[in-house]
Amino acid sequence: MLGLTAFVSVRAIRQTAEASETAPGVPNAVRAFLDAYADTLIPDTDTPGAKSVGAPAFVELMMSHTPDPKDLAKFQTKLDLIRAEFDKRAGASFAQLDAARRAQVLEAFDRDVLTGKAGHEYALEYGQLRSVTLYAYYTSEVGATQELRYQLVPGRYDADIPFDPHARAYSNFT
Amino acid sequence: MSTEGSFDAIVIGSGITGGWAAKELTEKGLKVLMIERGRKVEHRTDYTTETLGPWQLPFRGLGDPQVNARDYPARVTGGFANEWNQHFFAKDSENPFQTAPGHPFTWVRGYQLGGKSLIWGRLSFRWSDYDFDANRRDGHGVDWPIRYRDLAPWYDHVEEFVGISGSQERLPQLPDGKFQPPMPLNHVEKAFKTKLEAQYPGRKLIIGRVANMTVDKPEQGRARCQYRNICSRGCSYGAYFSTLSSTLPAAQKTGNLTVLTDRRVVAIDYDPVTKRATGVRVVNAQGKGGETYKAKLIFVCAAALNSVQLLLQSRSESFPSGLGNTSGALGRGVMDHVMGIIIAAVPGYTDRTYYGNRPNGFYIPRFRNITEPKEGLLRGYAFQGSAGRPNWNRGSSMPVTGAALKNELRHQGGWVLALTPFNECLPRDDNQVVLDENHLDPMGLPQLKIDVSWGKNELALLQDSMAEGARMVESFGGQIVFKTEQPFNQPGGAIHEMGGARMGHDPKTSILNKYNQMHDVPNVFVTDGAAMSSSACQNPSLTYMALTARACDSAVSMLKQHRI
Repeated sequence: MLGLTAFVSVRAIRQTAEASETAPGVPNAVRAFLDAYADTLIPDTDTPGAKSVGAPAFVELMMSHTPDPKDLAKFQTKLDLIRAEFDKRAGASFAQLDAARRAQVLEAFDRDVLTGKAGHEYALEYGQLRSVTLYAYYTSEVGATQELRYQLVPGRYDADIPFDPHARAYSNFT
Repeated sequence: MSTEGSFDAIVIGSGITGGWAAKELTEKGLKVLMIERGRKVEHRTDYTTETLGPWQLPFRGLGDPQVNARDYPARVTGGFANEWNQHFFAKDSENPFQTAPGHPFTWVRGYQLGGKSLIWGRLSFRWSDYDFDANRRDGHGVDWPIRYRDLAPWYDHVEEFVGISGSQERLPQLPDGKFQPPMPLNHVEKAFKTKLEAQYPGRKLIIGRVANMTVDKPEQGRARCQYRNICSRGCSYGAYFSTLSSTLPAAQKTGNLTVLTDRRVVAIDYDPVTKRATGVRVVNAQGKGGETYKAKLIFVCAAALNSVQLLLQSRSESFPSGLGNTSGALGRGVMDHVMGIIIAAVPGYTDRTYYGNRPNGFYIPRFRNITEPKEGLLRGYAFQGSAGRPNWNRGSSMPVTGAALKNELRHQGGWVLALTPFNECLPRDDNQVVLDENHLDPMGLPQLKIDVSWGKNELALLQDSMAEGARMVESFGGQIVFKTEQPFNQPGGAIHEMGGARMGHDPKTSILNKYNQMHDVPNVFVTDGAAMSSSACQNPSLTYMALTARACDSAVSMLKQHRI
């Protein structure tokens, strides 16, 4: 049943999805933004981050497999608005900024948009971009097995045990 | 056309009930032909995605959105399938059906050896006389021709073989059974149980009774559950019950079983002189062939709506509107369960957690109109639910970024409680399936036209159950973060579709008698969900199994006494 929280967001991803690695005409600027965005949302730390594990390619794959071209066109339009807002807040091309400055821009953007203070016109699509990027990271081999733990065969269910705040979560536990 | 062979019995379908019919009949010495319309699936060998991580799948488990939209709209609507198990779901694009305007229907099908037993939800609850007596009591539908005492020994029989874990609770509305030791409730579920039962003396919270074993069954080559919760990929441990893990090997062991896959039964033949069915006609996946197989007994176990469709298709001079349909009841009284969803954040308890993925949740058995009557509402509902601590997937809406987000998602989040009411659906004759001669399927056969909608009582029950669910969660301190305001599922979406060839005392108003035997054609038995005269609110598969085993016993006795 807990999968339902994931399911709600996964369904949103399924219904929209997003622009392509193979389709001609994916502008370089879009790709540069997706790379910079992934790298800022989940940066390299003691484990590789989202850009390093190829999350942007998965975002592009999902875009390119959007069932309805009208939905894709709408998503691309909104993505352009999102990029423009990032650039505006950056005072330059977001993708060109250094990591520290990108982090500041994203933090402020998320604080405004995820809490509904700004960006109503693209909040839905931004939520999808963010969900798919996170999904791509934590379902990558690095994200699932190095950043978190992965145990395909738990072998038992310990129903009531102490929580260890230092232990890493299991990426495949629900 | 040619006659390919003659058997004591033909079992149409290889899912939960087809597997049981094959096992019971072969173990009683009958030579049985089992016919499955889909492909052959081998236990273990064909569980091709069982051990794959998401990174090993092109769409990381989501499936190709374009393929989902084209082939699996019902699947997407239902939300039960994913990239790991989609090969066990029939494609809507290849298996079209019609619906009535304004009455959408989700028809989830599993066309392969094992049928939907590979992908079922596995919750296994007995029905009680609150259920078998319900139609008689309030006058909806036709009276069930059986009561709990008729089925109780057959529940025992199937439970012992299936391997169902669960707790003994002495609840009159949810009779105990032959259970393996129960799976445990986790910390927050236990706390919720304590609070709930103190607040409402007429309510109970119990662990789900589930066909996932807690004890090995070496005699069946099956091991206990490993707490992976990836059952629908297929389980090489055989820890959950399916045709492939359990009944099929048992039937094969007798040496009496012949299995035919990739063959669809298009009609049951009838001889007006002997007043018996003589056999079945089959075609291959391209609609070609037309071989006939003969048998003394026919067991129709094709899945509820497929079984009804086959009977409707089996027309003759004697039965111009479908085999055994002198009553006109064939196709009528189709039901499902209507569901809602409540998700709540539960503050506190963060010093406790759990290890493993339990393929089961808790269950709040029906209290409405059992311990707690309510004016103006008929029948009732039960809740399924679970508590857990979400992982990284909670991150999408969390306004934290960068290394801080990564650090946050390294640990489980706070507790979340989910509740889903399953509401009983009244049997109504206008919830009906018919053949649509204007829309043919790729084999050239009429498609099924399904006209099923929720009625007033179902929607009133849903409203009541959602209000009660919200109250229970909030009294426990839960903060509701998501709650459906409309039915969560279209009819069919609970995948508890049933009815259409109901059991009853009276041949004028029902299709089957108390042995699941056709009133009109005594050597044909229908033992899957089609037979149901009411829907109760429990998950129905266990009752289908018990009915099947009982029908097999009756059929073989009648056969031996030359009564059919």
